[in-house]
Amino acid sequence: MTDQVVTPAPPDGAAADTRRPLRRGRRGGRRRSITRRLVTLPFLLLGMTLLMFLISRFLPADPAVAFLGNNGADNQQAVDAFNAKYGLDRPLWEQYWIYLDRLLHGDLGTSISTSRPVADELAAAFPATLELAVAALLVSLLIGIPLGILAAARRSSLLDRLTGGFTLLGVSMPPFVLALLALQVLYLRLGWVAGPGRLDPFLDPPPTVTGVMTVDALLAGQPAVALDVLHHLVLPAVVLGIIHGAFFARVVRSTMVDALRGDFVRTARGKGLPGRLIVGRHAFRFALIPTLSLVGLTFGELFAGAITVETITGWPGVGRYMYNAATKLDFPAVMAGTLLIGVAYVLVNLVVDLLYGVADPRVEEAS
Amino acid sequence: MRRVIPLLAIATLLVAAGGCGNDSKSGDAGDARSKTLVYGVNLKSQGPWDPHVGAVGLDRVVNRAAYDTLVAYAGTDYAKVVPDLAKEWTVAPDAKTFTFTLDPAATFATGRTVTAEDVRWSFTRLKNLAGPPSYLAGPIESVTAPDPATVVVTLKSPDVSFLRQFVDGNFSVLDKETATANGATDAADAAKTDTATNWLSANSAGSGPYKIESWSAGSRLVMVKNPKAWRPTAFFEKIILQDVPTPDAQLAALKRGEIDLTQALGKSLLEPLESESRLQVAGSPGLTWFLLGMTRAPKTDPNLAKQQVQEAIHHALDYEGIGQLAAGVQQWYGMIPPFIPGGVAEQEAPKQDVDKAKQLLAAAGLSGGFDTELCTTTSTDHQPSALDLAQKVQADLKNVGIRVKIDGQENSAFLTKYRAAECKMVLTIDGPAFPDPSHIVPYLPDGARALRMGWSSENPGWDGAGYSAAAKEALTQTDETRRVQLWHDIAAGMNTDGPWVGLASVPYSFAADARIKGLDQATNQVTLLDIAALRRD
Repeated sequence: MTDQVVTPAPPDGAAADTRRPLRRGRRGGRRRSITRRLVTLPFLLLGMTLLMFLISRFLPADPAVAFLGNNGADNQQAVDAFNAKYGLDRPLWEQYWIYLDRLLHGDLGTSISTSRPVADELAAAFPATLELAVAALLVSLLIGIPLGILAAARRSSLLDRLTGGFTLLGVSMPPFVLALLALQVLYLRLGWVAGPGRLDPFLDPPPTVTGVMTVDALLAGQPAVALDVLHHLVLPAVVLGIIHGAFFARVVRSTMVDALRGDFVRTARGKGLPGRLIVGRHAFRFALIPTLSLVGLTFGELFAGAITVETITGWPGVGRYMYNAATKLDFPAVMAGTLLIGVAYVLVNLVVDLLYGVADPRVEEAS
Repeated sequence: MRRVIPLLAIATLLVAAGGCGNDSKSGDAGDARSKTLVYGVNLKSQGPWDPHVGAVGLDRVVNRAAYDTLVAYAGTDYAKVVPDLAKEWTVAPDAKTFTFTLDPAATFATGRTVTAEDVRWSFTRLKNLAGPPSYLAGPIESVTAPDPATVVVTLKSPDVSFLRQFVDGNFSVLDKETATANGATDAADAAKTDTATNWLSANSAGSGPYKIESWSAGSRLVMVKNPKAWRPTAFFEKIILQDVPTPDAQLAALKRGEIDLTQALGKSLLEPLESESRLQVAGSPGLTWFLLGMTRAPKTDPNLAKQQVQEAIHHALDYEGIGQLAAGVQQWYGMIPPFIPGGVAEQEAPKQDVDKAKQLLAAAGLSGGFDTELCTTTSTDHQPSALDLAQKVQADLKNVGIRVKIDGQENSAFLTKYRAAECKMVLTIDGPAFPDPSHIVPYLPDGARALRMGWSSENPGWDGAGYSAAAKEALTQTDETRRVQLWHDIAAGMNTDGPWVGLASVPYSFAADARIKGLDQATNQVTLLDIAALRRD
């Protein structure tokens, strides 16, 4: 799994000289690395399930009480039935074995709080999170990349200092604070964005095809519904986009500053290429690798870290679903949600790793 | 200029999305808007909508809209039970047998007549599902249907107040044919074999004025008018329960006309609304309240279990201050609140007397005070929160020398500890299913709550035996005046040195667009809100 931003060495003359003779060996190394990750993936997921299982079982609270309530749990028949239904009356190892067995058969269990199959509920929530994650990623790229490039190109200017302030604020501000602020200002005070939820209450949701409501609305020939979903998407996407955009701006600026000092930039300048071309094509290409690496991390974090933002803005995705489940000790839902996020995180980063080779074959050496 | 182009592009995209969204809204609303009621509420912990499974606040609203019960209250007059599906009933002298005669006009949304078999099947399913509200059917020995229009319910032990239990939405009557066709069963192993809850969350099988049309968990519930309602009272064609997570957002949505109705706004939001002509506020103290409990078990806390200490604590509390913690909080004057028959009146209320409390502590050999612990929940679902009240109690008791350490835990963890009888003192949020003075039974010796504080027939203390005898008589007393008086006397007596202190009711309030009519009449403590009673100007 990618766990840090990969910053390649500057493409100076020496690096270019070593590229060809090493290519075959690097490709093999890359393939082995990816194979190794695919092989370790099941063990990683198994570890996740074990960890989540143990955490859920050692909480100082009784799930039967959480489900039945203060009055309902006085009914011993109900407590016994609940424990039998969720296997809580069996030894711990047996509970885990049953859980794994069901998991391998695609059964994520039944939600304690809603009595519905967790797989169905996650299948409904996941596209909403995916929709938000993509939108937030776009916003963060649209904010972060231009800001980073401009700040690097105009080092020590007012814009550079403002970008520095923005990135500092963005990386240090907790998402829930920004979400609450945005809700207060953009929705409650100014009314510029739509309120909580995914769709105006007076509009009927489009028929579910992909679960991604903008896409489904367009497929159903309902552009007004698609636009309304976009309208509702603005608030959570901007909040998440600002936070992650700050990271992008910081990384792009830092890498661009290094690139603009490189020999290849000096050469390009010496050849009389326009500044815009040097910055936009030559130097930015150098900054693309760490940006791509950050895209993978960010996309994974958007799945895992959107819990507070989804909760505050009422976006009915996996984050809000897990928050609701956690507050009711609905451990089948929490465990399944965690597993889903983990899988998504790992797969996204795997895809990003594969894309490195496309963006710059020399990065294969780093693997 | 080039530097700001990307930012301008982003802003343009966002504003375009916003603007287009607004346009689409106005275009699609049309005439359906006036016949649609949007109820903005936090749907976080709500659902499933199976009336035999759900037991949380909003379930009562949905149950009342989609289902009927045998009997009902007349508005907020909790002394009087009126017909609903049953047109008449009798209570046998043994206070165990209730016989109901069904209204022959009553039909389900399918058009099928409501029969005694539907009632028998529904009550049996409620019991056998072993879900959160199944304990309510625990006292029932049997339900029989001797003929299609007659239902006989027999209890295991006498309790005349059980008639009022049938008002509760968990005793809703389901269409047996429709429900069984979708996986429901009343079999003894229904807890394992019934699979209808999922279906009953997105559909309904009742006889109420509305039908559930769709449910998106945590997001949106849609109900539509029942075209075959046997009492066609509904005005709105469609009711949408829309998730709006925070009170601030609910209020903003209400002011903008995005929703018509919301609930449970806090003090700071409610007070300014009262002067706004476009909005209205209604509500009442709810059937949820804050109670303080003290252990009677010397092994749990030898100091607290003393009579003088418990009496001292009753004197140490600042009751008026507790009642002023938040808007709408109604101070209690005893274990039965004033709005319930037999409620303890204001003039009987305990008064704070710090000197008296100190004298009692000295008499108990504790003039230097003592240390103890109070368990409570950190849940912030109510305003004020239990923690707010716990801190107030802590401050009041500090004045007389009792040093209280607050053990605040997440609600489930708190309940687990409280139910294991591990708390010396407890500040809990509690409440019965229906407003009747008999709700204090669980707090009397051998009751489920009392046992958690070590109060039992084996450890009745200085007062338990008397209360138990009075409660036994009240449960079988068919003379309503005498029955109510007995419960009242128990509650008033506990104000002196009982192990429980009733502190305050949690307010239940609604805010709505002023064009919504009938809000005052539609709110009550049992079903919270009767949506079918609402209209739009």
